[in-house]
Amino acid sequence: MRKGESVFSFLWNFRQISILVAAAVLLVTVGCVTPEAVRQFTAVATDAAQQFPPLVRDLAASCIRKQLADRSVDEIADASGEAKNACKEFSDLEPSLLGALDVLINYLNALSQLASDQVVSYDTQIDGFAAKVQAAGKFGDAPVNAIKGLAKFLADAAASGYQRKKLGSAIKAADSDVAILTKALGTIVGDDYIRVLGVEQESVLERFRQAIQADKTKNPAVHLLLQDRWRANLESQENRRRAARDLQQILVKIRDGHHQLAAQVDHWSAIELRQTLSPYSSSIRQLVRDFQVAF
Amino acid sequence: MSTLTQDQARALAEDFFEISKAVGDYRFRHFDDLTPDQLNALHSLQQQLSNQSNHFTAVAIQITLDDLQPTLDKINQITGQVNQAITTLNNIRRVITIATSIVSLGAAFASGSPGTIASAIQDTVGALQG
Repeated sequence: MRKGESVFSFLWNFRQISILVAAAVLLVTVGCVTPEAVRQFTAVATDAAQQFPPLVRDLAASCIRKQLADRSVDEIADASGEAKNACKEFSDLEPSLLGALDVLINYLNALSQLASDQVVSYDTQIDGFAAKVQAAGKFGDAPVNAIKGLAKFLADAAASGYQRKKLGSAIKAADSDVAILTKALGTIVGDDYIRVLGVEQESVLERFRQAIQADKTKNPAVHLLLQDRWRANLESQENRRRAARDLQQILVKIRDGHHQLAAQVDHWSAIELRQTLSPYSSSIRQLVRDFQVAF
Repeated sequence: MSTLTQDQARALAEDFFEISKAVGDYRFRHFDDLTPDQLNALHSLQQQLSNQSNHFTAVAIQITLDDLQPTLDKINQITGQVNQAITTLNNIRRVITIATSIVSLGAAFASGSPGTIASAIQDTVGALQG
């Protein structure tokens, strides 16, 4: 028997055993969390979470705008340094707030990467390996293709099983903490930031009132200009508020989508999981588009 | 004095904001009835109240972030485990690459060509260094 044939014969028997092993691996992993559905959801959620920083920075910016609006209408001076100092509390919070956000982004990004097809695909490496084996042993195409097929099959089964197991355990372990974090960030965005915007708007409103009341001539042209400026300001504020509410909703969708994953991680089929997560992904995409109008 | 909770800080921020708005509205409605000094005093009071509202909002955010620390630590830890799993899966790729270079090395030795052997050794060392 030629060297190549004996190796092929050995591999052929090995292949039969390996198929049984691989089938067992697949049986163990069947019905576990579906990486593609997880990848799609976490990729959308990661993109959405990355929209936060401008809004976080606007907390201090809104406070500064408020401080400037509180200045006397007839003041011509650079008061920006004083205004920034008055808002130091907010600017000091920025790094911690962005850090908390990064924790969520890094987690979602890591899940997305682990759920990626590429992380469990060794096709290129195995093709290279088979080509080297062919060159080294002068094998024909049939045994080399068998080596390739077997190696890919085993690698896929083992890697996919490992991938699903790790995804499932991470999602379950993190679920309650993701809920706490998204709720806390949602409160900061949806309650605290909106209140800070409200405070700013009151100061701006007061400034316009003062300007109107200071105009003893009741000049309609002046009033018209002030009214236009006030409306433009109001619209810009409303866009920011809407963006904050969108972001709060995005966090709710991330929390709920993640919770659905965690709850069903052990026993949902790919189709069911995709159907469940799809509305969350679509809503998040839509909310991000709305959010981008203001930021 | 006991420290504030985040809910208490938010409630204070909300209260100060509402009182500030009420003062501003009162000042605007009674603009013609009040003296300039009274108007200025109310304006100043309104600003102080709104600044207090912002202060308590900042306090509420700080307390929220402090309370979140154990949660952030846990998520960081899980992220580390997920990244470790990605590394493990990437290591499989590296193992295959090393195996491939070792097969080449075997073939090079069999060929007996010093140039081929040297090149294969270099490739194998490169694969091992990853």
